[in-house]
Amino acid sequence: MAQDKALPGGSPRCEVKLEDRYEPCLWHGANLAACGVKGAVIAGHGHTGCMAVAAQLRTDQIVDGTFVRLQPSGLSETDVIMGGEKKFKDVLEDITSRQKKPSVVFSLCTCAPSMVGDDIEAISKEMSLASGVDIIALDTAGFKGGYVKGGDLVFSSLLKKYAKADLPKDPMAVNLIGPYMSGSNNWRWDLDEVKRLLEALGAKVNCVMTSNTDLNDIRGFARAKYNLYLTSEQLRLTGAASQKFGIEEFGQELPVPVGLYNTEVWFKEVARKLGAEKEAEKVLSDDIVRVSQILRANYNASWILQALSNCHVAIAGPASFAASLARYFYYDLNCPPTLVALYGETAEALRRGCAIVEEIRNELGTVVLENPLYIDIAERLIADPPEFYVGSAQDKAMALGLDLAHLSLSGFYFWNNFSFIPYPIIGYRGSLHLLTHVARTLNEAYTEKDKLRKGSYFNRDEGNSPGHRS
Amino acid sequence: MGKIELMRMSELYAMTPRHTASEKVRQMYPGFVGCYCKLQINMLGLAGIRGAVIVYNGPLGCTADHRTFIGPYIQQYDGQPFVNIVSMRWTESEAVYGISQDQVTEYLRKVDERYKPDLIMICNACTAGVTGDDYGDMAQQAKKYVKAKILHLRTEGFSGSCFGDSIIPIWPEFFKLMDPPARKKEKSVNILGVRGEGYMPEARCNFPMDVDILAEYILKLGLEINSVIAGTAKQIFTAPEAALNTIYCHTWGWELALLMKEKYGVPVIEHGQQMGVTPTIWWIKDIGEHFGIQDKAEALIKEEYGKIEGVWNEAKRLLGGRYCIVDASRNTFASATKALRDSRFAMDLGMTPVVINCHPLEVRAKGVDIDYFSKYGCDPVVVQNRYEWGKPVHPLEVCSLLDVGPEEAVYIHNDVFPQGSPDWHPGRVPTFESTCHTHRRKGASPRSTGFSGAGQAARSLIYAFQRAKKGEIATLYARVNTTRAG
Repeated sequence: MAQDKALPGGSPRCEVKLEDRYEPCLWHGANLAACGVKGAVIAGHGHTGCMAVAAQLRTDQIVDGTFVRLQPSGLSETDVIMGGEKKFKDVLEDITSRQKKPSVVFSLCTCAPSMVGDDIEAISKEMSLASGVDIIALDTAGFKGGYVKGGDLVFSSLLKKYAKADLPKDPMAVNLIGPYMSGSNNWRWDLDEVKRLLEALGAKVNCVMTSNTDLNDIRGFARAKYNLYLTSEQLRLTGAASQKFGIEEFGQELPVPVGLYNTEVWFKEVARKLGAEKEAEKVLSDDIVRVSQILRANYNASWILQALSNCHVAIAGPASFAASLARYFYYDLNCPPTLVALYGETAEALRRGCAIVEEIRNELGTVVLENPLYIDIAERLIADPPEFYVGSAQDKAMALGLDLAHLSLSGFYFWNNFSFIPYPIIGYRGSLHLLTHVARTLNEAYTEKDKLRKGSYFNRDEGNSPGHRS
Repeated sequence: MGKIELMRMSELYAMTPRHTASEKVRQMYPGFVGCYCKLQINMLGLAGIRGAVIVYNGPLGCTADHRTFIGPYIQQYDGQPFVNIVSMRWTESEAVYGISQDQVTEYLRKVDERYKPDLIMICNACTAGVTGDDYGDMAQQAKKYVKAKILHLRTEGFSGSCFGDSIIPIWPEFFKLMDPPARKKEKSVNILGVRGEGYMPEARCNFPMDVDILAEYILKLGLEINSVIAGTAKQIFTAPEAALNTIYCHTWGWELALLMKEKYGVPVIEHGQQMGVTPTIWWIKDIGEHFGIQDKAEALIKEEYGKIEGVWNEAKRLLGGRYCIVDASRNTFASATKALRDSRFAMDLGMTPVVINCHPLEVRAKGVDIDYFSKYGCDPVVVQNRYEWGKPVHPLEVCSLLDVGPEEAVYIHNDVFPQGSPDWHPGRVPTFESTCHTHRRKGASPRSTGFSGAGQAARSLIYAFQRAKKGEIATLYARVNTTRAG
């Protein structure tokens, strides 16, 4: 009873930690990963509410990618009580009996059916045997973890089912892991830039886990000598599976290549791994020429770069991405970050993010928070307001509510990035796109809308009335 | 799946079982129902209560569900405050053992200390519903350690799919927070059923909300606003002080109003969903009659209608007599009420509405709205035997059924992904995008409430009429969504 444990002062004490941050669950992570596989269909066992959000996040894989159908069983309250296996079987029957067969079916379930023990694995096995369609069944209950774990589960299950062992190694073949976990809401076109840069080094992109991924790519996964991680999150299961194929992993500790300085660090390390340092120098020197052609003696650019100089910025996002942005703003734009909020699902991601931003923290005394509550961020911003804030759609209202201009760069593409230009924000070339976003935000921050509203369109006959007419 | 049938919405309501009649529902309507879960749907409103913190009794992912889309959109577009949602972060351990009384108490105590809210709402996610512990009682036990008022809500996602089933059991719970009136404000009015948009006359908005329009009329009648639900937490507590309750949406506010009438004697006006000229007139007249200020009401109606009379009559002239195909919604939040509101609006302009893509269970869940609309002459035709099987009806099929061409119809939709094809786009058929989520016009509210809303909607329809003469020029949306890439 609570009173038995009451301390002086009257309240019972036990260890609870307040948590309020944006971390989609394992179910969503599994869906997001599965939606990157061409020809796949997802049989989702659970309530439509979970499907609705999964379908929204699926947008990340649809844009310039692949459309994977998500078919829900539509669990009701009665199904939770009485069991929903029949409903789920109906879904699998419908999927596997259509004329156009999926390349693979993912049977995934949400919290409620997992708790009550609906046996989706058994049903999936039965339907797979009956139809000849591959079905991968996974318990993806949301309470089992976050989206990174969900992705890891799907990646490793794909490898387990399809990847062939004992393939001849190609020393220049590289698998790319976790592109949509990079933290950049422009990740889809950043991925294209990663591919371009690798190919410029003479490397070959072998398999992407996952984005527009063909099952044949997965079959040839073991051909690669390297897994290049595009995320600092730890994917234990994928790592273990890759180890069995003798694949060397790297990239998790590197900064995200946003801006010139970060790109140099990232690209030179990738090139060193591949023994292609000379090629890397050539790419960088070619790309800086292109950037200079746009920015040199460009009044607009110089105006913005001077306006940015010494502006204070606060940043929040997935750990290595937010940390890398802090370096971009400081080293490339001369904007000291006053606050950096790092979000990570795994402890490794937070550690890596902290390491990336460590130098800045030491030099400037930048406040670095790990998985903070939004109120923690808000209180810091009130105490020490920056000129603008870089985050995501999830914290935009918080920033605007504190009268701060806001730029969404972090997180997923869905309802967060309203750019329809297929161009990266990473790499030297991507720095042009990135600067464009920053410039818009700065102009937004500097424009005195309320004064304009109240001061424009004076008419002497109306007296000293404000100019605004609604 | 049988042959397409046309029937009245009230008939469809009568023949449809409730969603709890599972076996019957499964036989009649195979496949899934609804779009969002009970928690997500209610958060549309709960997240807008200023002075409140929400505690999710479930996994961290449910918080992310709200913050993925609903939260950001509604905060930015409706100006809902940034909501603090603390998660009890259920993991596998909690799925087996549940959450203890001590933990519930400590969560609430810490939230109260950290955030200092007026109200803490604890919302159950699916996991809490499956374990079946009495978290409501646990929350009450924690009261003595907390300064804020506490409200526990049974919002397990799986316990509701349709809007009505999700909202109607929850919003009357706010009655428990109401304090007996310390005084009666004789000239004051509450506005109930406005979801979570809030009323902030001190804020200068780019676009007025529906509640702003209703409040404007109330103030012009010389009355005052007591509470808006959902506005601030404190407004909920002091709502019984008002002399009259008015409703925007019956789903969100009617049951609560009836409770207030029974316990505190606060009368309620029946008319709501004030989209179009006629419903607005009814509503204003009813308020005038209640307070004995009929002359003021007539003067207000004359003044406001006068501002839009020209454009309204022009829209009537151009579009009256046509069929208006109301696409209830496949992808957004709209359900039967939106279709009814649009239908009544269409009738107000002299059109005949035909509703498509409205699931029977959504209709069944909205009894309170069906009753209201049909009582006052709006019982539109609904197309059946297709959508409930997971197969949307295309408006062209309806045109074919009615033996009219697209150029003789009007299309009102509520969808992020409206149906488009080379033969069905704004160049072929006058199209009015009516969803409250993306619809914003200067000086008018998202749901086209009141005279200003009617005027802007009429103006939009006049433009739509002109656009529909350019059949050879398809919109960008129609072109890309009928082109298969790669």
